[in-house]
Amino acid sequence: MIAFFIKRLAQAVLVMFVISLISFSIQDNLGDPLREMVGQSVSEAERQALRDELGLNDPFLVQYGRFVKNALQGDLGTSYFFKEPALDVILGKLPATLELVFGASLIIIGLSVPLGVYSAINPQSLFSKAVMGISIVGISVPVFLTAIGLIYFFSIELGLMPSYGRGDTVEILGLETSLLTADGWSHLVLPAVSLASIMLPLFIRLIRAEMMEVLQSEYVKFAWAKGLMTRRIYFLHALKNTMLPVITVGGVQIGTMVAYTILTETVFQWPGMGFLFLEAVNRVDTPLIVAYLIVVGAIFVITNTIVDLIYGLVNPTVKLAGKK
Amino acid sequence: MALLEVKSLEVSFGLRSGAVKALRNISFTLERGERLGLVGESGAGKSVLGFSILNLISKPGRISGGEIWFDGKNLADLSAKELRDVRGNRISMIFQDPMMTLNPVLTIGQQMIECLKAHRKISNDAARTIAIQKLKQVYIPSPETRIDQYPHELSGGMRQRIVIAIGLLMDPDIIIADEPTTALDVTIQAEIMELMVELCDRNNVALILITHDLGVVSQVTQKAIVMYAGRIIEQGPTKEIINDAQHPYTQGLMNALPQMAIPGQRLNQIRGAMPPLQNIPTGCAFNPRCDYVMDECTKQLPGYTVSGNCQVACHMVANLKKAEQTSDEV
Repeated sequence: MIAFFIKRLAQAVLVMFVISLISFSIQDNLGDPLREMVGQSVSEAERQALRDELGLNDPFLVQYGRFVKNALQGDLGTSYFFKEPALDVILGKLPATLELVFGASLIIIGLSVPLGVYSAINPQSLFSKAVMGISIVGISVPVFLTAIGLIYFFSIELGLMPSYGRGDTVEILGLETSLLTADGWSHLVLPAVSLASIMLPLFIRLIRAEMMEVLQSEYVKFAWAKGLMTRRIYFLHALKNTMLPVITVGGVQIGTMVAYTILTETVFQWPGMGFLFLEAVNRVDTPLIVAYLIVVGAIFVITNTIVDLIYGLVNPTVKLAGKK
Repeated sequence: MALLEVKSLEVSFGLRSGAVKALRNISFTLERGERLGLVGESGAGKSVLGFSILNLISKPGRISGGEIWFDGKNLADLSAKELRDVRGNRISMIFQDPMMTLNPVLTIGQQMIECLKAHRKISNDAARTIAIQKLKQVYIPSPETRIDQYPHELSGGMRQRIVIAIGLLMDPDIIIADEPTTALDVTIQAEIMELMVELCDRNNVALILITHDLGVVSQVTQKAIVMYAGRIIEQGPTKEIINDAQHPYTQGLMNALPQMAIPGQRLNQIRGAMPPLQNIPTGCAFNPRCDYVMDECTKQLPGYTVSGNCQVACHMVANLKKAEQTSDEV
């Protein structure tokens, strides 16, 4: 277990190094941050002086070295627009994004497992065929279209749900959350549904395909021959094996979902990291952009490590100790 | 009354191109403690027959006719719940490949205890005690530790012993073993087969042994059934079939044994291959491969002729018998 952690930690450091290098190197290609920072009246000489002061004229490696040195101390630069440490700005918006991802994950897990299992057990039923048909539509329609459609029907036509924002929030343990108020939940539903709409069909199809394969396996046949209850065969013998690849894919997809929040948050004006990122891009707020990329990279690394741990717990043939 | 009596059993698979009969007119009996060998080429329907006894054929297959009498009940039309009471309890199965038969994500103990708990009210501790005792019976060393291990931690031979132990958990009346040694190392095969025979003898369990190994059949079983293209073509006491095969197909199988070949020469074989089930020739299904084919073989399905203690589905044997009888009368 400890060996596993050390190995993972070393990998994580390497991955974070690569992410930082890539995200730092794109900042030169985003346009001139000075244009946003200062007004029209500032002269070119003053601009150059400011560039020198910010270190923007230094060679790339010098800039990067300075960035890494500061980053290791938890300083990812200062946002040009907010005039605050970029990391603080990002982390302030992180809870809202995680809430959204959490809501979408609940929907995905809550629906994909029963629907996938049902349509694997009864592939010929009308309901399964309908689920498969709708899931194709779900995969094909882009998330911003789904989001706009949801707003149109549920907010404008039916007036059931608020169309934007996060609603009432409560502060708990220093974190702002909307999960503890009814208003917060009602604001969360539509964004979470639209975020889930891309991943849900994928998971239904994945679970269905895996489960159908597992149901054909010898050990499931043997379980039938042992005279076990149908429920036990489906939900223990078959489902546990079905979930192995699903967990792996799920880990990668959680990270992808964080990335997808950019679209959902923008449509729903959800005050999360993705929304912030898009604003930062418009303002050429490079420290904020770089900080966002690094935070998202870190989320990827952390979720994948957790997923590997869970996988090791579910699959006995994987030894976490890294035995050869 | 026989322990198990199968009467004109038919199994068909509903495919898009129409129903295909995988088993046709299968009838045989099995006595308590008796060992029966089911022989035939791949695709002859041996495994389908084994699975259909417990109504375990996977879709689109189904029992389309006939009866399977066991313990006063017709297994072919029991409800799902009644079938569950028989499966793993009165009749259990041993599968071909022990690497695939055990669930990789559950411990040996979980897979044994669940079977006990499915069939009787029993505490976890009591079930564990029985499981350990059964593991001892199949000579698993240190069963107390093995029981908490996962299948991948055990060798193939060990796993098959565990599958056998699971088969014996409920002290069944019948064990259906579908090629139980085929996937094992040759050195382990004899060991596992001996173990099965020993345990069946000790517990008076009847065994249906599905195999294509005639050597094993001759050593282990008292009765043999030879199948071809979904039909029984010869059945009777193993000794008679081995020593005096009547059906040309059975004779062909016997000749194909490596022991029957002259050293340094090619092994004997039956020419051709078994026809696909969708396309079985009219008359005797074996006629295109038979050395003794006659006109009626291609036209009419042979009925069963009694020869000694055997039943043979062959026109030639029927004609010989008829000739014998007439000569006896004269």
